[in-house]
Amino acid sequence: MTQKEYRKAAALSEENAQRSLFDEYFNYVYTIVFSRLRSCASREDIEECVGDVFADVYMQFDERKAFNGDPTGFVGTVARRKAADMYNRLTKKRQGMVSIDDEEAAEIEAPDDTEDTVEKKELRGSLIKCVEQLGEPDSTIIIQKYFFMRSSAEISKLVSLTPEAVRVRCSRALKKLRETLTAMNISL
Amino acid sequence: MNDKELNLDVLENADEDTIKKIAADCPASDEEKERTFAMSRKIYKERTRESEYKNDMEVSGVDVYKRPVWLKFAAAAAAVAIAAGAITGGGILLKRHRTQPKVDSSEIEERAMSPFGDLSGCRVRLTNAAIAPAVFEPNEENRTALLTALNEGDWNKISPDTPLPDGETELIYLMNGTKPCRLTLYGDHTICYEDNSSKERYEIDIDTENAVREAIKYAPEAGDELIYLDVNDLNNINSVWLTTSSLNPDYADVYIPPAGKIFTVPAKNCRFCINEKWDAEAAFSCEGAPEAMSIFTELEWKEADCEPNFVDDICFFSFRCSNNDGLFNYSLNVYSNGYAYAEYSDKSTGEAGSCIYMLKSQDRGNLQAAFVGAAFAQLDNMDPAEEIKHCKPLLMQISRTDDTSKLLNLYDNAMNTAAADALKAASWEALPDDAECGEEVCRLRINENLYLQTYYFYDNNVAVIGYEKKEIQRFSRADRHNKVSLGLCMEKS
Repeated sequence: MTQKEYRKAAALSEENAQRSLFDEYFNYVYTIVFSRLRSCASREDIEECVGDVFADVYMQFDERKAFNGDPTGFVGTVARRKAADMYNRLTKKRQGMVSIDDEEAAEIEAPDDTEDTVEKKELRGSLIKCVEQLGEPDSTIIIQKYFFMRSSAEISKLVSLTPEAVRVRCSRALKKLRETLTAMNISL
Repeated sequence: MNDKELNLDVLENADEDTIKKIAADCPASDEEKERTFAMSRKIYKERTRESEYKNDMEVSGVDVYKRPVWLKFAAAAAAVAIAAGAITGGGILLKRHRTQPKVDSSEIEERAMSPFGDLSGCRVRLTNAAIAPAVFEPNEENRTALLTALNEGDWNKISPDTPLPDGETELIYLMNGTKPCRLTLYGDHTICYEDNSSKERYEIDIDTENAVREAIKYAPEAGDELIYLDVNDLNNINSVWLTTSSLNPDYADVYIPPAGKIFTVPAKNCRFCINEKWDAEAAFSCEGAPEAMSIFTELEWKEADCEPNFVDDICFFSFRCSNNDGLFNYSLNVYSNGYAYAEYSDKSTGEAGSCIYMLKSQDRGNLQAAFVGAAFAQLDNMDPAEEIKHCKPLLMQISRTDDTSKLLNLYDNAMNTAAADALKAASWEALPDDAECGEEVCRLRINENLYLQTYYFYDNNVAVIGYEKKEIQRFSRADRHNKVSLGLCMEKS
């Protein structure tokens, strides 16, 4: 949905326009936010952050100074920025300040490590490929279980299997994936 | 990696490609989605209100009643109280349901009530000086907040003869079952209560007054719709409930593509020309047909890639509208090659914009169809003198011999104009269909932009006019003509 389409729809019904935009980008935004916050935030925090992202996008779309074309990149940027803000807010509470003179300071990683970034990207690509090779519904089960951290009961509703069947398939898929990763010399 | 777990932390903060792949497996349920959507709307509304509030502050300075800070806390406290009440109440109900049906009356807390009874089930209609004689029904949240405030407020009865203060009042119409009443909120913290048999005046506490004022604000952006009444209806606590339609025929909603939003303007200030360029004298009014303008929201307004030469092209539809003070103006010209030029300015806000669009062939057809109906509806009620002002004669033919079926073109524009002026100057009176016609002495055929008309003039000062409606689709080159239908018999005086 482009900004122009959004405005046209909003002229008729603001709520419907927002819902269309939300429906189109929800999965994308949720995944970005979840991917950033999965280690430190509760589901409620993640939902709040996703809501915040969309509120920001609606407001930006209302503005006259706008952009043409596909807004996916823009929506993604807002989602990353908001998720980073929330990540900083949540982790700040847990981390104390470290003086530069402290011995611990030397152990703090530099915020940007190009070599590491490239390696991780390659690793992610290989990992996703291996998961995809498991085929459905195993690939979905693995992603749901180990990335989205959903329970077998929740996954069972998504893949139309019983929770027991999900557990069995998950165990087999995990074994298969582990073998593939080992063969590729990938350790997680 | 242990035997039972798989560490996918590497996918955290992933790149775009990975995100898009994982997003296909997004596990959020419909409930989660709905909750998140509601949250996004809530945050959006809060921010929009805050930004509007900031703007108000910049323009008008400090206005403590505009958005009292305590209301945030009151609202939060109320929300907590409602939630706590719901949980406690639910718990009590469950407990009672599971145990003995017998209820100890001492456990039931007495419900707060206004001096005129429990108002919590009332229907509400509201108005004030800004929107009168229209009223609106508040949304459920505001209705509940208002009725709760009225039920729980401190009411102190005072003499009905207490002088009324100057300033604006807020009118609150309540329908409690079948019993209507009206509350008039004055600026001196007093409320006048009226029903069909009594009239009383009360003083209320400041917290109640603020809560009431907050709940009765008219907020069109939140969905409040005006219901237009006769001004006399506001004086009658019964008749205020009779009208249910929210359409105001005097106003029209016009979608302005360069602004990307709808402006509401008086319908009488909306005019259009069809099958010709803009001509203020020939333009048709949209009064009585505000629905035709809804077509503007249905068209695909695609910006044109290049700027065409409008001078050489034929304008087949033009539209103008403005508000009463002339500060808002909008013009639209649509050309037969599909280009459309739209321009608006709103001097009250400083907004202005223009854009060239390329409309689809189907959209142009729909646009024309929407307005042709409105044009013909108006032409049906016009006499020929009035009609010819609105229909531009393109070609005229006249009989020059006794054989009136042989028609010859008028020589030039001057003759066309002279003939049109003669028709305009004549006074016309409609006759019944069976009015007697004499012998035909002359025939005049006019090819207009909307009609093909044939005037049959008789020697007893009677003229019969045949109309052939044109459905011109210039852009598709598929002109079609309807069959001639016999129109009015007219006596030319």
